[in-house]
Formats: sequence, C-alpha cells, structure tokens
Amino acid sequence: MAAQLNRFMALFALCGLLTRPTMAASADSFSTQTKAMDTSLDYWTGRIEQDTTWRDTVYVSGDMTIASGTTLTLAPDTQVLFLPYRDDAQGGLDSTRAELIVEGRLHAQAEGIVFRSAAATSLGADWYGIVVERGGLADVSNAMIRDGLRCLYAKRGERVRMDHVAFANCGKQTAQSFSRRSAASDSLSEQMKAAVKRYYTEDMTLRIAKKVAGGTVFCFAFTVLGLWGSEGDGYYSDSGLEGAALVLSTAAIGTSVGFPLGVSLVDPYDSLPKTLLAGVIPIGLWRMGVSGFWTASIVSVISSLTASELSRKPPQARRVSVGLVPNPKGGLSAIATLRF
Amino acid sequence: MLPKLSFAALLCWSTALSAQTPAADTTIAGQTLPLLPIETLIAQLQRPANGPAVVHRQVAFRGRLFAPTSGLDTLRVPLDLEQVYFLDEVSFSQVAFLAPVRFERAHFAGGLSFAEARFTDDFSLRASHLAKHATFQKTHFLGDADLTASRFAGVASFVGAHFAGQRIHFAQTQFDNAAYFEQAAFAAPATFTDAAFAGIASFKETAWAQPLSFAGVRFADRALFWDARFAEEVLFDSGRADGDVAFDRARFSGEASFADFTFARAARFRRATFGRASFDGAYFRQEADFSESEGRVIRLGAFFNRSLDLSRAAFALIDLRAAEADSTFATGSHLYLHQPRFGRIQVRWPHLAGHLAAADSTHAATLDPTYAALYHQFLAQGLNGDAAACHAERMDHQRLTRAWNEPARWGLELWRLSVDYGSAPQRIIAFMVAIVLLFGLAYRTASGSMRSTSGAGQPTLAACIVFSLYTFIHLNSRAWDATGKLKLLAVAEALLGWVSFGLLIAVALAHVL
Repeated sequence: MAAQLNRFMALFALCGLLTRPTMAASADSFSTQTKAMDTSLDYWTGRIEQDTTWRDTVYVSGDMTIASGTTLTLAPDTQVLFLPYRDDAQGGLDSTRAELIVEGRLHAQAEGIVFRSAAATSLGADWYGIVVERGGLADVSNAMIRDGLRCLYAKRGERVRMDHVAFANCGKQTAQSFSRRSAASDSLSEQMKAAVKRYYTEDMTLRIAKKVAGGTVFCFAFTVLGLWGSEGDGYYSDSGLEGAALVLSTAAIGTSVGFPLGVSLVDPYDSLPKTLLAGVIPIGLWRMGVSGFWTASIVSVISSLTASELSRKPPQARRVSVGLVPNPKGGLSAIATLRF
Repeated sequence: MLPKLSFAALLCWSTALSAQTPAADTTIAGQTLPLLPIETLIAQLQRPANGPAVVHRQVAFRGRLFAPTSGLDTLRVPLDLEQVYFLDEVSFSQVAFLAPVRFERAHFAGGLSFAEARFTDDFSLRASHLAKHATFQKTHFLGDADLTASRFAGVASFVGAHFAGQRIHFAQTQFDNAAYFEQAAFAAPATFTDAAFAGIASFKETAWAQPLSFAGVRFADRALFWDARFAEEVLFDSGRADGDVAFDRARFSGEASFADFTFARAARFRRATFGRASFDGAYFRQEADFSESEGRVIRLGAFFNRSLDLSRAAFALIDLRAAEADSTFATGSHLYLHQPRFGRIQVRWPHLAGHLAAADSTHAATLDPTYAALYHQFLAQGLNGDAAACHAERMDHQRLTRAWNEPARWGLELWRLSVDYGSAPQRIIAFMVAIVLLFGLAYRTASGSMRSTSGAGQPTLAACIVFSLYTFIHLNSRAWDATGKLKLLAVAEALLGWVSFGLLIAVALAHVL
C-alpha cells in the first residue's frame, strides 16, 4: 500500500515537473514589459514582433501573425473584429480571408473576449480563423470565436489550450466545442502520455542501474531490520536459528521482498505483484532445498529485475470523463465521453 | 430568394446544356439568348482605335475572361454591352480603357475585377447584377463613373479607387455584402442617394473633394467613416443606420447635414471636425458621441434617446434647441458636457434639466464648470430664469453629493428650504413665518419654562407666537421670558432670525442689482 502511495506521489511529482516549464514560460512572458497598442480607429494586418496587448475593439483587415517568441495578450472584453472577405496581406492559408496566425503565443484568458466578423450579421466564413503554427501556443479561455471559415485551425500536435470557449457560426471543419473538463482532462492525458513516452525512450541502462541501486538499498534495509528485530523477540532463537542461519534467513527476506520493492518503487510503471513474485519464487525454492542460497539470491535479483522490465505498462488514460459543451442555443450541455 | 435561386438554376442548367451540346443559344430567366464563347469578345476587344465599337445586346458569354493572360492591356474601342450575361469570371485587371465603357443591365455570374484598371473615358455599370465579388481596387476613373442601381451581391471593393470625372453615381446601388471604399478619392460630385449597404460599409480615409449626397442611404451594418475627408457640402438627410456609425476624426470642411437621419445604434463623431453641421430632426436611439469634436456651428436639434456626449467639444455655436419634438432628450437620457469649449450654446434650460451627467460620477465637482458655463450662457442671453434654474440644479447636485454628517449639507439644505438657492426670494418670507410659528408651538409645548414678567400663569398659544416673533426679530419681549433649557431654543431661533434676515437682504440686493 505504501509502495502504491509512493508511486502515485511519484506520478504526481512527475506531472508537476512536466507542468513547471509551461508555468515558468508564462511568468517569463509577463515579466517582460508589454506594450499596450493603440488599436482604435485603424485596420490591422501584418506581424506582431514584440509583446503586445490589445484592448477594446480591434479591426483586422488581413492576416495578423504573432511572431515566434512574441506574446499577444488580450485584455478583458476585447473584441477582435475581422473585416469580411478581406485579406490585405493576401497570404496565409486563405488569401481572401483574414487569419490570426499564432507562431508565438496568443494569451486570451479573460472574460468577454470575442473573435468575430466585423459584420453585425454574418452569414459565416467572413474570416478564416486562428491558425496555430508549429511552435505556437493558443491559450484561450472564456472567449467566443465565431463567423470564421474554420474559426480554429491547429495541426495535429500543435499546442492549443481552450477553456470555456464557445464556437458559433463556424465552418464544418472547426472543432465545435471545448470545455473546461474535457480540455483539462485532455491536457492531463496528453501530459501523462508525453511523460510515459519520455520515460520509455530514456536510457534503459540508466533505468536498470537505478533499479539495481534501489533494490540493493531496500534489500540491505530489510536485512538489517530483520536482524535488529530478531534480537529482542526471541523468535529466531525459539525456532533454533542462530548465527549464520539467522543472517541467511533475514538476507533471504531482504532479497525476496526488499529488492523487488526497491525496484518497483524506482519504476512507477512496472507491476509490483509480478516483480515481487519473481523475487520470492527463487528464495522459496532455496527454502525448500531445491537450490543453494547464493544461487537463489542471484536468480531472485535477476528475475525480479526482468519481471519489472517486462511488466512495464503505461498508465491508462481516464476511461470516462464528463464535460460541459456550449450548445447552439447558447446554454451548456453535459457530455460524457467513454474511451475504449 | 426565389428569383436568385431560379436565376442560379437557370445559369447552371444553361451551362450544363451548353457543355453537352454545341448549341449557340441558352435560356436565362425566360429569355433565349445566343451563347458565345468569351474568345469572341476578346477578339473584338483587341480592335485598333479606329475600329468599330464592340456592341452586344442580349447575349451570353461563356468562359473566363482574364485580361492579363489574354493579351488585353489596352482597349481602344468603345464597349457597349446591354443585357449581357457573363457566365464565368471576368477580369479586366490593369487594363487601360481609352474609349467609353458601358454595361447596362449586365449580369456577372462569376466575379468581376477592374483592379488597377484605368478608364480614360466614361464608365457605366448601370442596373447590373454582380453575383460574386466586384473588385475596383485602385481603379482610376478619369471620366464619369455611373454605377446607378447596380447590385453587388458579393464583396465590393473600391479600395484606393480614384474618381476624377465630372459625375460619380452610386444612386440606388445595392451592396448586399461588405463594401470597401477605403482611401478612395472622389474628385467630382458624388451621389450615393438611396444606396443600400447590407454589409459593413467602410469609407475609412476616403476623400470627397466635391459635394456628396448620401440622402436616403441605408446602412444595415456598421458604417465606418474614420478619417474621411469631406471638402464640400455633404448630405446624409433621411438616411438610416441600423448598425454602428463611426465618423471618428472625420473632417467636414463644408456644410454637413444629417437631417432626419436615424441612428439606430451608436453614432460616434469623436474628434471629428465640422464647418457647419446640422442634425435637426435626427434620431439617436443609442449613444451619440461628439466628444473632442470641434467646429464652427453644430445644430443638434435632434432627439437623443440615450446620451449625447459633448465632452471636450469645441464649437463656436452649439444649438441644442429642439427642432420638431417637444424635447431634445428622452427621459433618463444623459448629456455629457465635461470640459466643453463653446462660444455660445443655444438651448433652454428645461430641455437640459435633469440630463446633465458626468462620466466620472465619483467627483462631485466634475460638473461644476459645466453648470457654471451654462449659467453664464443663460445670463448672457438674458435668460435669467433659465440661469437661476441651472444654478439651482447645480446647488442641488452639490447638496445631494454631500453626506448628512457634513455641515455643508445642512447649510445647503437650509439655503434650499429658505430661498431655493436664491432663486425664490418670496420663499424667504414664508420660511420666516414658518419658523416663527414652529417655534411658537415649541414654546407653547414647553410653557412650564415660560415666565411671565407680570406674574401671569401659563402663556397662551398666541402669547407664545408673539414671544417667538419677538425672539426672531431680536426684540425683547416685555411680557414673557424663557427660562431653563428653553433659553437654548430661544437662542437657536434668534440665530435663525439673523440668518434669515441676512438671506433676505442678500436675495433682495441680488434681485435689485
């Protein structure tokens, strides 16, 4: 139980390590001096090359590109209005519609942010959408994206964080909805998968060395504890074990139980029962007189290591998740997702 | 919708039919028309300058016309096409037209482009229908440009177009989608009379050097006239805007008239510059923002349903007199006049009473300069009653913004009750009488503390009122004397008497002088 607890703690620690770089990046972005751009009474197109903040109403008449290493921050209640069927830059994925191309970072985490057509009544497809390029990050929450041909376009694997974002009047190819829970669970799932992938692809020799070290420490710990515990209770004396026999007996416990526990603790993705079983069986054979102690100990160590490696398995993503998605009437609908 | 669909169906049907058979006719909208390949027209357009005009009536052209790849860079012969159907895209981009070009009731099923084209002579595109995009970007019209009653179903772009002829007509033109006229230059008188813009209409940085008429125009969506330049008279009379209208930083050098214009959504004229502007009879259903605007004369005899913002506006004359309605402002609407700079304002106080407001209501003194400016305006115009009412509202505003624990609040309350901030001198008399009577009643109630100099018992009510009157006018009563705590009441009444007489003298002098 304690080992499982430790494994969960290790997993959480791993998740924490994974999320830390992102948070650090955020802090870095905000530590830099951001420039509040006067966006009023003008149409915008081109590249944003330095950290910029948009507020109130911004009219976009062509492709706007957030350059790599640059953050565009949207203040609360900012409306980004795209002129319909207009692309002064005549570039991007659609040369007739404006796009918001994210090569750097789009930070739109405030209430009341709207990306939409400048036309009050739009038939849709007036602009293209937010296009997240490789290395870009679209961080959008509590926003409304509407009237675009695709509204949001990100290639597989590009970084998009959506939280309570509503889509309306978008083309069919748009991801229709995101919600807090689904986005969060997806995000966590992606992070876990990335962690597992990283763990699997890391140096196997180093991992086994770590396991050997961990197993050895636990083996000695169990042996010493066994010897220390046997001094006062007279258990072994009563059973007739004395001297070398007592050492062997406690060393057997250390090898069969302590070593597999140490191995399993180092590797959170192995199967503890299998590792433990592989360590106990050779020692059991020694106790039954089938093999000698040293042979049994060496076999126990090797078999527990082998079982640990062979039983490694990535953690399963959540099978069932429940999320809220905006419905066409403007309300929220609960959606349960089942993964098979 | 139905005509559109039927037209589209007919086009599709005719196109499909022509693709199957080499038949030379097609039927469109119930009309049987000869169907010609576009190459026929291209060949005719390549005629030399002394060649005959290219004339077509009731004919349909099939195929895409793309001038840059068809060797068409200059057209030297007149082009006269009436009721002609182009079933595919037509592009005359960067083509120079040296002779008149006339399209009458033409139909362009595909897009139409005259981008960077140059018309040396007149250009006419009357009563035509453009089903898809129409591009006139950076097109130069050196002759007249007549696009009367045409219908642009797709996006129409006149960005950077230059109109330099004698007349420019967009009357009754319909723009079903966005219409972009940014940075266009109109060197001739232009008319957009009864034009209809269903989509966003953008006239940002457009320049009109001659008179312009948007009379009867309909803007169903946003209309953006940021930084537009109107050098001569401009008329927007009887128009209507159902979307936001923005004339921010626009410059009206001539007379601008928005008479009877209906602004159904917010109307912004921030930092606009006017020569003479008239909004008589206009209806502002939402916010009307003229902040930081400036000019000589602005007539705002309109009806403001929500608010009028004239903050930091600078005009020689602001006329806020109601033109037709009983009042300029709807109940509950606001007038923002923060830091105004005007030589003269023409309005009667009853129209403004209760409507002055400050954007920053946390500072009580924000409106003081506004009230003061209006007060002096009324005095200068001999409207003393309006000035007094304006002053009274100013004091009321000051009074109500103070808490009850402030001595100034009590002072202002007394001033209001006694003389209505000096505007009602007759009230001081009633106030004095009321004080005498009230104190008389108080003395009668505490008659045990009244001592008679003649040894009489309890004083009567009449005796108490007489005693109150003596105390109020600071004459010693010979019959009665207050004793004990009642002395404090007598002292208070005496003080009130001093104050009341002071006010009476002040009000009297103010009215006499």
